[in-house]
Amino acid sequence: MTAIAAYGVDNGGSAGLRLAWMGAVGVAIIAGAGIGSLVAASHGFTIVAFAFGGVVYALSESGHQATLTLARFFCFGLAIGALYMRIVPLDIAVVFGFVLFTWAVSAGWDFFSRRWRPAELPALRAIFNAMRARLLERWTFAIVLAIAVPVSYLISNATGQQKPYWAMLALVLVLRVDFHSSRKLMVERFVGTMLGVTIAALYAALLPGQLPLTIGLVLAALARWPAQQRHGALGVGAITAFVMLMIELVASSQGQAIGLFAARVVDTAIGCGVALLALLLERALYWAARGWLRATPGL
Amino acid sequence: MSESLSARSIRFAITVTAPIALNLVLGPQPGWFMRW
Repeated sequence: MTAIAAYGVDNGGSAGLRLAWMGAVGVAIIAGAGIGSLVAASHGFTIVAFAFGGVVYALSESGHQATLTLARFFCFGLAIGALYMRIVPLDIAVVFGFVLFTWAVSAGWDFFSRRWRPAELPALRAIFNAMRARLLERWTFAIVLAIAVPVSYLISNATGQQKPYWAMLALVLVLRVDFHSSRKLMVERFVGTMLGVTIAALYAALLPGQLPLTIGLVLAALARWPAQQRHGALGVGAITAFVMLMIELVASSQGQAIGLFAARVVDTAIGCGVALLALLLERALYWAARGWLRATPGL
Repeated sequence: MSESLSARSIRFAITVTAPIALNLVLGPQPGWFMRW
């Protein structure tokens, strides 16, 4: 997951710039997992921590794709730390080890191919300015996310899903302050998830065993970006198939991913459904706050 | 100069599958450092 996240914030530029962004992803995952571990013993504090994750996501949403990735993986770390495992020193070493690995592949690839990719992201100051823009909308979005993230977890948990954090992740993957972007992402996420889990489950059932699953993983990873370029849902399908095959590959018993087939789809549906309601709530809050501010001169 | 799609795909595949392969080869049991 660290390698996927670090790849996600690799926008080219100098070796130092790449390492800084990738290192920030490592810090986000460890910070999330650390906070998650601290609150794990208390259900109430876990819910508060998830709400905090929602606020962090909302406030970073308008910055840049890279800040979104940081916030999403902070939420991911939070969920893992709070729900599944307490952080130990080995986790920190593994996360930063794979930050360095991803950085070495990035820089080494460009160095040996003699095509050094220039930076494709704006200056940090411009990113922070974008995060501070449209302040009212930003805070109404933050309030809604503080409610929506715990709600998606609670619904998934209440319906007995095995991986309730998948609903939270689906939510922060599709919810944008812009309604049209959100709607597009929701459709892509849901259709792509159906596609990805179906392919992975069929593949794992027909071709079990370590070698075939490893080949399947590589094929899914290779298909990720060409599929994404063709259609967002196909890109989601490829990465979903990759994740499901990875679960099957590292599982202690055969068929674990197939057992999670329904959970992945249901959690994605919960995340997308909560995201839709959250969008409606955000618009209502925004217009109410705007009306109140206009009716209150001097504020 | 943007990266070609094939280069991007191969770099992504190396980046995300090598850690899993390493886990399987070096780990004392499946899911060694992929604990959850």
